[in-house]
Amino acid sequence: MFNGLDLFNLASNKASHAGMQQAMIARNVANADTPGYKAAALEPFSIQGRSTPARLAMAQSRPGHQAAPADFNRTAFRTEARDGDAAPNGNTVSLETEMLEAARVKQDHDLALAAYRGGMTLLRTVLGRAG
Amino acid sequence: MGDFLDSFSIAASGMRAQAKRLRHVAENIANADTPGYRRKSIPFHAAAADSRGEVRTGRVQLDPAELSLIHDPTHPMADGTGHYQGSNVNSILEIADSREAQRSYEANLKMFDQTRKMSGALLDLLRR
Repeated sequence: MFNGLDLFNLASNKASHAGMQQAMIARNVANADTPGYKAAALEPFSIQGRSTPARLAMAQSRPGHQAAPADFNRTAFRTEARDGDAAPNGNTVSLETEMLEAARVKQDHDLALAAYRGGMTLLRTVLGRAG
Repeated sequence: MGDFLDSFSIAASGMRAQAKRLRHVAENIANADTPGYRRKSIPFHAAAADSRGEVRTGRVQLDPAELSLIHDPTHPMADGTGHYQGSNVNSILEIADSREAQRSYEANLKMFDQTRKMSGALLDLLRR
């Protein structure tokens, strides 16, 4: 359990996926009346995900500085077009679908945070500091 | 956190755009009986692909539709045939437009509120 702490990685990846999805839905909702706008969605969360090369490397300018962990790179997800009928002005955003997705994203985010908190509680228990 | 900040600014841009639209609807309705008034509207554009994806509003456009011709020989602006040019505002259209703007505004507000709750929950992890 202590080599890598996968639970925390997984939870934080899922939480950041939910955050990205939230930004995506916010963009769709903001453009709900923009002519010709095509609704977009993020691909569903998967454990593997896709890793991209880190754009920012951690600098080690002094001997005491820590090196970047191997899994420092943030998991990236593809965006895909969301199906739906287009309004006469070519807009494919459905506010109802977006609201449904938003509720799902909130649940996913809460779940990820609960898992993270659960892991923290477990570690605290191991260290003998319950609560 | 960066995604949440993006969400905030995108939702705020949506609310700003819808509020601007509602402002022009109010102006149109107020001027429905002003002679020679042309209906104003603002176009919405999606922001460039490399930006966060906020919605932008364009320049005010005047409706090029024919002005209505109103028969009232006692009106000071009436011509020889007793007609004067009114506005080309259609109240039904304006009411429908305001309803749609309100609905979209509320959707953006809901997204803003939900993002606030999500980032609050994230910060709560640090608090205990």
